[in-house]
Parts: sequence; structure tokens; C-alpha cells
Amino acid sequence: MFAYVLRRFVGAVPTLFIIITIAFFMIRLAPGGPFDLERPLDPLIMQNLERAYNFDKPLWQQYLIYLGNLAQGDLGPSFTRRDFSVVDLFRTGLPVSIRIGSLALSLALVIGVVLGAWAALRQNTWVDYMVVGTATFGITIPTFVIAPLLSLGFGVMMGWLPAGGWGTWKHMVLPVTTLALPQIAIIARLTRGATIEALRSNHVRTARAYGLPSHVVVGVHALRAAILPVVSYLGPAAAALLTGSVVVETIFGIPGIGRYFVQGALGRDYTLVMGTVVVIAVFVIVFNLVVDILYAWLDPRVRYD
Amino acid sequence: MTDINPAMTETQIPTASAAAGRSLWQDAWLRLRRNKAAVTSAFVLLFIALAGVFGPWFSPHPYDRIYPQYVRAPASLEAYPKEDAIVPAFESAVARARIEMGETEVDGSTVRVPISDGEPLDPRIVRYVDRSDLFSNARIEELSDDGRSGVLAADVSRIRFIFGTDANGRDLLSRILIGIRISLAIGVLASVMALLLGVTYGAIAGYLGGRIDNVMMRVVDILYSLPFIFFVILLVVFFGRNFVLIFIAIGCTEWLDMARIVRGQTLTLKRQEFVQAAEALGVNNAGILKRHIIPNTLGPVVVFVTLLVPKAILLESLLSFLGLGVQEPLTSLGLLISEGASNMRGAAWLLIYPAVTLTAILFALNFLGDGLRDALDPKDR
Repeated sequence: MFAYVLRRFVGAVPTLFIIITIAFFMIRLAPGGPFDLERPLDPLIMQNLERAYNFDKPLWQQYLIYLGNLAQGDLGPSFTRRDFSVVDLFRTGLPVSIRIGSLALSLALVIGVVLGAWAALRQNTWVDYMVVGTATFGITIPTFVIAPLLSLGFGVMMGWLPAGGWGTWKHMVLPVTTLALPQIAIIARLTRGATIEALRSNHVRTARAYGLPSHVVVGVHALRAAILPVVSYLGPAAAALLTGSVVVETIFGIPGIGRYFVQGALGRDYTLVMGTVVVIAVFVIVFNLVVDILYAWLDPRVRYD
Repeated sequence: MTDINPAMTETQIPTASAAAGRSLWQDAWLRLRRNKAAVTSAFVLLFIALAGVFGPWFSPHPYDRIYPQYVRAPASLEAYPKEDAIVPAFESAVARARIEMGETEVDGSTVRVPISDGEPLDPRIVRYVDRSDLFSNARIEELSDDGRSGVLAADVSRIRFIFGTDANGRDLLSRILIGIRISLAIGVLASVMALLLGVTYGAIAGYLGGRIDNVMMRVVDILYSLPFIFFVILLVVFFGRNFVLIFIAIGCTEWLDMARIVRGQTLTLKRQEFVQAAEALGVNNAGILKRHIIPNTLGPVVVFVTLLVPKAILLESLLSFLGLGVQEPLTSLGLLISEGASNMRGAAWLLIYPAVTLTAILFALNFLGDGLRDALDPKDR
């Protein structure tokens, strides 16, 4: 097992390397720069700035310098948020994003699996149709429609919850709901399909034949098989949720890291954009690994050696 | 279902027996027609698409025409201006002329006010009234002999804003119509782009097989692991926000699934007898791909494309929402929703109408795609 984890990490290095390389050269070859202002800077100042940030060296040298710093965990200074290093920005923003993302994820997992399993057990009854209908709804409506509508409904019209901002638990309700809704829908649909299949499978029939009570048959034997597709879906989904959503953070005014990428790209904040790419890529790689390990644990047919 | 006209069958396929079987496509068509959700969706979609294509030409307001007096006018079936808004608007317009005003009276669709001034009235003062969106055809009537007093009259121009107006005073209905056009166009063009790339790539990889296939699919795997949405954003940020670039960028990110599906299909197809027969007849690779492989992969591809269109629309809307999509005064549904979101306090209709439109399109496309999948691929239910 340990060897497998190690091999996966080593295998992830080339992917990460390719992502970093493409992102680096794309950003650097793009027109414009972080010091472009409406009024051009004094050439001497510009020269000094460029020297300070190594912009006067050839691009490949800058690339090597960046890789060297990255290997030491240094993501460089942010160009648009002066006095902050990219690592500082992530240190304050990432916990916020992770908090909202993990809440949404747990909520989605619990509600989604329960709804999906319930619908599967009551297949072709009104429960089933309700769940499938709601799930279709949740999958179809994009976040950037749900978020402002929720904010409008509960924040502005009803006034029950703050329409935006960050601070108390009340501020988290709407963003977490927004993030969780589509995930609930997808997880419910996946669970429903897998549970229907699992209920027909041999091992569940055997469990029934042994005379196990039905909550054990469903809760332990069927669900364990039914949760597999959910687990493999959750890898990339978790990475995406925990690294923040630009839409949700923009609409609800949350100081997470979801906005950094777009803002950084617009302001040619090279280091911030690169930092976001690296952080997200690492999250994706780690969560895919976690999913594969979980998979082996849940499904005895899967073996890694 | 069984009422096949024998005469027709004979004329079309002279050598076939009377009991001609239904082709895959006929079969699928029959199944699709029985699916109520899919048929309804198809009609809804057709209606929305026609509205997007032809609507802007029939709409009374150009999508970029600004009515400064009607900023954020609420959605209403009644024509603007409202009765109680006519007199104040008229008086404030006339007041700019800095002349003495009497009592304003409204008579049907004309407004009249007696005016007088210390010196002869300048006929150009009617422009103050004409400039307003509310009035047209302003004129001075009953001018006295010394030219110092008269009656200023103007017609009230009735305008309808069924969906209201936006924060700049543009008709929301016209903007939604143009938004539908842009969103659908980008969705379809991006999907066509992904279709061409994915089908060609997948078919070549699958058909040639061996080492070439290996290398080609490794490339797809690597591209797959890249956070593509970021590269789309980077592309659009750096190389300008233009319509063509947006759909090319979206198309370039969405072709990977297509390539995989087509490759898988091709792998099974190329071992079939009709392909071997074509090979035996000496048809070259390109010919076999074009004539035999690609047409036979179309079933799953069509299904995938219908599900790809909403994905592309969604991606474009997301870009527009982030302010990276099409540029003002042109608009797309995502941009309209984004504007609606920032104006939702006090102008909820700006958010609700575009959101409902986009949702309707996405729903219809998804139901149609599901219906097509059920129709074309009955195993995969």
C-alpha cells in the first residue's frame, strides 16, 4: 500500500510539472504586465522593478528560478496586492474556502446519499420521481443562477439571512447551500442508480437469504457497493469545492481563494495565478489519490500492489 | 408503426423484400417521438431558438438603444409612460427652456401647456421636449401675434417594456433575445468545433491503433488532467474577449470526451466484416474512416453533442458572468444574469427573466439529450 501511494505521488510529478510549465509560459507570453498602469512608469523605475523581479533575465531563466523557489515552498510576492506574498494570501484565504467547501461537501454527501438510497428503495413511486425531478433541477441550474436568486430571495426580499459578507455562521448558510445544491443533486442521482443495481446483485440477495434485517442489508451491504461511484465522483468534486468557487465568493463577498485566479489573471499578477494553479493542481492530485485508496478499502475486488 | 407502404418500399429499395426493417435512425425517431419530455423540450427549444434568431429583428427596441428616462423601468404589460408620470416629465422638460408655464393638461395622447416669455418665443425650445423619451412631435400652437405666448403641445409616445429595462435604460426583452442568439450560437459553434476535433482525432487513433493510438490517447490523458477552465480563462483574458476566440476556446476544452467515445466505438467497428470487406476491396484508410467508421459512430456522438451544447452554453455564461465573455453592448445570457445579480436590489426582474430563460434552455437541452440517449442507445438506460 505504501509503495502504491509513493508510486502515485511520483507519477503525479510529471503532470504537475506539465501544468506548471504550460501555465507559466501562457501567462508570461501574454501581452501586458503587472506594472502596466494608465500612466506609464518612469523608465528608470520600470527598469529597477524589472531587475527586482528578475524580469530582465531571459524567460527560461525566470522559469528555472520560479521552479527553484517553488521547490522550497516559496510562491513569490503578489504583484497586485503589495506587501503580501502569495503564500500569505493563501494562508488567510484558504481556510475560509476550505471551511465553506467542506461544510458543503459533508452536507451534500449526507443528503445526497440518503435521498438517492431512499429513491432507489422506493423506485417508481412519488418519492423516486420527486428525488429524480429535484436532482435534474439541481444539476441543470448553474451556480451563478442559484447564488443570486438565493441571495435575492432570502437575503434581500425576506431579510432572514445576510445577502453577503463574512463573519458569523449566518453568513455561511447561503454560500454553503449554493455550493451543496448541485452536489446533492449529482450525488443523489449517482447513489440512486448504483443502489438500484446493488439491490439486484448477488451479494445482497445472499445477505437477504441469510435472513439479515433489511436495514443491515441496505445500510451495510447495498450501500457499500452503491457508494463506489459517489466516491470516485467525489475526488475532483472535493478538490473543486475546497479550493473555492469564484462565483459563490464573488456573489456573497467571501474572502476565499476562489477569486484569486480571475483577479490575478486580469491584473497580470503572475505569481498569484501560478500559485492558484499549483494549489488547485495539488488538491486535485491528492484527492484523486485519496479516492483511489478509499476505493480499494470499500471494494474488496480492487487491489493495488 | 407497421403501416409501411409496400409500394413505397418497392420503389425505394427495389431489391429488398416487402418486410423491410427499420433502420437505426427510424427506430430511434419512433422512440424519441414517444418520449413526451423530449418532444416538449424540442418544441420549447425550437421556440427559443426562433426567438433568438428572428426576435431581435421584430423587437420594437434595438438591443443597444438607451432610453435615459426609462432606467430600470419595471416589467409591465402596460405601455409606458404611466399616467402620473406624464405631467412631471413634461413640466421638467419644458422647465429647461426657462419660460413661464401655465397649467399642464393631458388630453388622451397629447400634452398641452400654455407658455409665455418676456421676449418672442424661440421655436427651438421644442427640442427640449423632443429630447425626452416620453414625448415626440413637440410643436408650438396658438402662437400669439407678438410671439410671446402660445401653447406648447407634444404627443406622448407610448413604449412597451414587457420585461422592463436595465440599469442603462435598455429594453430587457431585446437584450434577452440577442442574448439567446449569442449563447445558442456559441453553444452550437463550440460543440461543432469539439465534434470535428474529437471525432477526427478519436477515429484516427482508434482506427490506426497500435503505437500511434497509444501516443494519441496519452496526450488526451495528460490534457484531461489539466485544469482546463483555467486555460480558457487565461486565453480569454490574454487574447481579448472576442466571440470567435470564446467558442474556439470552449470547443478546444470539450473535445476530449468526444475523442474517447469515438475511439472506443472505432475499436469495435474496425473488426467488423464490412470494414474488412472495404479493406479487401482496396479502399484506403481515409476512405474507410469517412465512409464506414465515422457514420457508424454517429449515434453516441449525436447524444453526446446534445449534452455538450448546454455544457458549452454554461461555460460561456460562466465566462460572461466573470466579465470575460462577449463585450457590451452585445450581450449573452450569462452577462445579463451577472448584471441582474448586481442590480437585484430594487430591480429583481433584471435577474429573474434572464435566469428563467437560461434555465429553460438548459432544461430543454438536457431533456432532449436524455431522450436521444434513450432513443439511440436502448442498452444504456
